[in-house]
Amino acid sequence: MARSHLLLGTTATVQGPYREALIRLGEARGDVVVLGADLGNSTEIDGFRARFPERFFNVGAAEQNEVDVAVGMALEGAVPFVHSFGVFLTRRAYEQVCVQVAMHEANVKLVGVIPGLTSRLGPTHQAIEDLSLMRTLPGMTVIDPADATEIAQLVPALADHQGPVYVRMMRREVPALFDPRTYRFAVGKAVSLADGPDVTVISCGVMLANALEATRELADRGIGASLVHVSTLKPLDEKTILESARRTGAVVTAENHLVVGGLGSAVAEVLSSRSPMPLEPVGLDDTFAVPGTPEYLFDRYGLTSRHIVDAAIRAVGRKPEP
Amino acid sequence: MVPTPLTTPELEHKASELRRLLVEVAHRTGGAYLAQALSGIDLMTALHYRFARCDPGDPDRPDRDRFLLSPGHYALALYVILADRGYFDPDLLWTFKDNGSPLELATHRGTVPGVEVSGGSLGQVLSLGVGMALHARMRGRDHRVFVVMSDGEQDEGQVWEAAAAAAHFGLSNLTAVVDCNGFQVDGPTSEVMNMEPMGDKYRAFGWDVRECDGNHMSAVVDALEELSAKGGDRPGMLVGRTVRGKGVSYMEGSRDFHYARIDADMKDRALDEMFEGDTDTV
Repeated sequence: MARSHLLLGTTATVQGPYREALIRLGEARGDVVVLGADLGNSTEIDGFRARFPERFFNVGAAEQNEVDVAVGMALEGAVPFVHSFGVFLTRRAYEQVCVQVAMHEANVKLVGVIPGLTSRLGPTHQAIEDLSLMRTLPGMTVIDPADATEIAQLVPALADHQGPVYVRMMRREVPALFDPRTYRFAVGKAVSLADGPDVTVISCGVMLANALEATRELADRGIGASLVHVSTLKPLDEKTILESARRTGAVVTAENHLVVGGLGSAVAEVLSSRSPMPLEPVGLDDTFAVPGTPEYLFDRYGLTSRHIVDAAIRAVGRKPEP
Repeated sequence: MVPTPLTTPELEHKASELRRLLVEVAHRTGGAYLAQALSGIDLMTALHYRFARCDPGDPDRPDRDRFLLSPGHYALALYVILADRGYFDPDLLWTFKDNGSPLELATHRGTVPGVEVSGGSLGQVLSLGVGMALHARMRGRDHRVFVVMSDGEQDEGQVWEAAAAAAHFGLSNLTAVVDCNGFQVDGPTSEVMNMEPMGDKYRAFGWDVRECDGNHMSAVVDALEELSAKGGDRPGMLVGRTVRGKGVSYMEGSRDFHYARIDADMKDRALDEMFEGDTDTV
């Protein structure tokens, strides 16, 4: 299988790409302000705080207030980046996000750190339905980046994007999958990374790494997979998804999230109305997860490359006879 | 141009005018959260016509003071003020809560000039005010932020997150008023959820607090003058002790009238009382 020129093809990682990107954004734009909720180092906003203390506001462990304080600033023309763990911004402050951010199309960027099962603190800290909650809000843009290259590129893109955004954020050691020399992140744009004829694998967030591995394993079994990476779940790049899905006639979605309400649902909504075909979702199936390492949890709850391969075989098997 | 601030006698006269208008609109449009508007109208009149530098001819000018109404249910009280001050055509008042009217039952940002925020969901607007006051200070702007709250919404935990933040950040450019009329939807606040002593709570949170009869105009003006002149680094709070339905005897202190439908007879009784009570204020 030919490797896309957009990918590095290595196992490289980058340390703290968000911390660096936020500092660079602060240098480029004086209207950016940063809010934190007692998780400065944990959400990698401590670099911005040290560099731009006059534009940094720690509101304590009070996420509802944090979100609405940010809206107050946004209504005055600032571009607030609002931080906590994803669970607290979406679960705890949901009404504030709905009523003050989304309803007013406030220019607020909600940055929810530690996506899905990558948290070690158990189900209170595992954001497994954040994409669903945010995707259902009218006018909300929802992004789940895959790697350090996307993170570095999306931070300035979000500041340029007028309107509310929820973005999942990875921290500390983050994989570098995309080649920064060739890859260009754009809000609302999916990228096609392989164009095999038999099945389309659609990934978001950290699942890109497993999806890439799955396409290699499928190739070994004689199944040619297409691969579409969807970092923006909303607005969804229907054109890129439909082009690949129609070419292959079967789809697997892969997300670090419940299969309800996230990527699987978003793709199902498009396919069922525009081009019905077999769809096998990979993700958490209507369950909370136990505490554990990401490796353990991804295996236990069915999010590994092997699970994507199995789902792809099922999807291919469901295709109607030619 | 920012209009000349009204004197205390002018404010008293204005509040009486607005009370009559509130009763008329509530009657002609089939109902309103009238009792709350009547309790809060003195505090809101004092703030809007005297203390907040607002410019009806240029409602969005950047140097205006921000007047934020938190309990959206007090919408009609703000609408009659804005209509009277020329923010929009006063005839719009007769479309209050009609389908398609910008004058919605609860305030919503973007409907008419002068409505700065959406307040239908209680307990959120003090946080917005904290954000606006922080932004003003960060940018070196000297406009002020005024937030009007109700006592019922003090039950919401977020109010106290915002109260802590306002004091923590030393927001002396923020002044809040609580219309303490002693009632919430299910009954007296003392029975539903007692948040007294209100003033002591805000003092304990680090605010500079005044308390007064919130339906007594000269007391309100004096308290707000003190808070305006105080300087320092604390946010200001006026706890206004008010009577729900103030000015309409059959509403005052009644458990009914969370939402008031006023027939012609009730309207006439209310207006007769108000004209009698108003003879010595002009």
